Amino acid sequence: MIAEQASADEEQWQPLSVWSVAYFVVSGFLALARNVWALFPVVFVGIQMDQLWLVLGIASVALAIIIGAVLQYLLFRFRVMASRIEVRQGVLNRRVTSLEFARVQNVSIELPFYYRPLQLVTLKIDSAGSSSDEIHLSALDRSHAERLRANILRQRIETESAAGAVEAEEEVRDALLISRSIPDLIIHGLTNNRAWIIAGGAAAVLGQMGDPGERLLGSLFADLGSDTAAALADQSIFIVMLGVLSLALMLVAVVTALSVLGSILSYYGFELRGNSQRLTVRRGLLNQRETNLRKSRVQVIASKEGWLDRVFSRRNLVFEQIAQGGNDSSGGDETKVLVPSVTAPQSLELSEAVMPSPDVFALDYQAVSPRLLARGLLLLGLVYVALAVAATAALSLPGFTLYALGVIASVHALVVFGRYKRWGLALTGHHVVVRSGLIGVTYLVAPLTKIQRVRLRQTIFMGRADLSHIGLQIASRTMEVPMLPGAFAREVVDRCLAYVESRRESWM
Amino acid sequence: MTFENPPVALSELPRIADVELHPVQRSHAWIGLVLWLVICAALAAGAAFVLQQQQPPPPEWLLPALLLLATAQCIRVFAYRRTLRYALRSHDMIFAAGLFWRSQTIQPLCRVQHVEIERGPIEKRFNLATLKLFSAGSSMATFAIPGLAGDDAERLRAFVLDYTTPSDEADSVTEQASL
Repeated sequence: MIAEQASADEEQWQPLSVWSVAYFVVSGFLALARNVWALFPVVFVGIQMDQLWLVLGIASVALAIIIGAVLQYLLFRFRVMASRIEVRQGVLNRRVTSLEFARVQNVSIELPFYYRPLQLVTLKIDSAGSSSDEIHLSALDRSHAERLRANILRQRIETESAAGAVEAEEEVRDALLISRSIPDLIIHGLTNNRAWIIAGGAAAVLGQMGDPGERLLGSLFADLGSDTAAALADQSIFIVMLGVLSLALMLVAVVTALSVLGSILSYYGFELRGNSQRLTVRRGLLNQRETNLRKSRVQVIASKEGWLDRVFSRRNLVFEQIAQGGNDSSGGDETKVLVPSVTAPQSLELSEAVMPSPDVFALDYQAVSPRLLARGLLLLGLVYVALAVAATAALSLPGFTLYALGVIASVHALVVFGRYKRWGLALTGHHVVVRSGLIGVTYLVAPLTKIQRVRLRQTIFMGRADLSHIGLQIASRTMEVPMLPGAFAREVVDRCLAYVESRRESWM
Repeated sequence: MTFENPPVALSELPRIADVELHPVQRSHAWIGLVLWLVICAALAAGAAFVLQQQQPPPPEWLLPALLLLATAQCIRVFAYRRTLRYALRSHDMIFAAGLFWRSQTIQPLCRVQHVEIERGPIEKRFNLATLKLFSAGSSMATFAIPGLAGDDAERLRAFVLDYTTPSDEADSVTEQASL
């Protein structure tokens, strides 16, 4: 009864809480920071200007953002209908977004750091369509947001299957599939470059830090500068090289530290829970985020191992959903769920928990044709011979550059060989698996039901040798393997088509 | 593990290699040729005008080289358009194309989200049409067959539409809800 009463209220157009102004201010500043390169000339002029004008300029920009945020708050209305949610928003460009619950792909609840004292959250609803269909409701009461989300999830399931009652019951006992501890996240930061998370926020954060930070960095670089200059002036080349080396090491150390920090910031308290139909991901230190998605929306499971992952025997597991039309960075994060730095057995267990999956480590893979290796080595040989000729004849460089070139060429040849050995495709009764990589091995697993379209491609020369590239289009990506034996490629295509067309199962 | 792996008798599967492909309308290739001849003529006129006014006259081989390039492009377009072939099976559509790079794309009809027929002014004049089938995911280009006779395109579209609205309603709701 109470729930029905509440939903009747929600069918009226309603504004957000006043606190949503904070959300609009922050997103305004972030938009500004993202376009900071476009503002570079303005900033450059600003530095040369009078301090008073500079302060005035910054103040007016800040004021404009705040006024814009207040207007956005005043003009924002939303209502929740029986089967859809509608939003009217925008200051200069008014727009009305109407999102059917059946089209909802993810629902996430975010707790940004500036709402932490108030315990207010942002509800983000993504559709399977374009990113412009996303709806963000900011500064909601936690309980209100939870209720809205439960509503959306329940109605989405009711519209799609009759098993709503069973689902509602199961909702309570989502089993914990995996959680990640701080050591796991440190490993993740070491093996994967997550420094960009910091870099993305740095523009805004540096602005807040103001003078002290800048002065610190400035003095650091000034010291470095004078040291290097001195070394160049009166020390031997050995010292200079040592300096360059230590500088490079220092850079690596700084980037690694940032990466570890970024990993902890975005994946702190990582938890993946699931029931028979749904997955729930919880993560984040400053901005806590909780995302729900349906298992059936997972199109491809990517099990990725970078070369550093190999040192720690870890791999990242990525559940890929339908790729959105515009591949912009702001919403791109939401279509893929990444489980950071799991072990190989864990990766198999998790895959199995999301959908029935084959043991990718135990499959027999069809190798690609040695022609790929031959072609790669031939191209490589041509490039390096050309370089060698240019180095000796045209530039008349000393002899040892030729040896150096030889070493680089052989390392490059090893890379080509390694990649060639990794390529492989396996077709099981219900799945297609693609293996690739160089030092680390990446596996892409897709159920055959998810295949949208297939393509065979060959040059005339490949046709004579009966070889073919194969491309399997899935809603989240295209899985491609080069230079497979023609008979095998045609068999894969025939079997994939027969599977998709005879069963006609839904791919969502 | 609920995972099972039943064997499939290979000889019983339909094979794409057995399908006979039909070429698209011949006029599609001729239109391409004429179009590119016009474009090249316009470019040549422009280039000649600019080159005439160059103070140090351009090298003598430049003009023949440009002409050769233009001819090659016109021939390439014509020859490429002559390679376009398609076939309809009861559950999918096949499109093959390419001179040096040959590709064969197969679109299962049960994965088609929507269908479009596109006709430009020139295509309309010669009663040609392009049939486009859209499926989920934006990575590969849309499945499109150009140079179809107008009524062939209409009939193909009708077939695809007929196929994608199946009798069991429950399936179609989720299928169409995606885009």
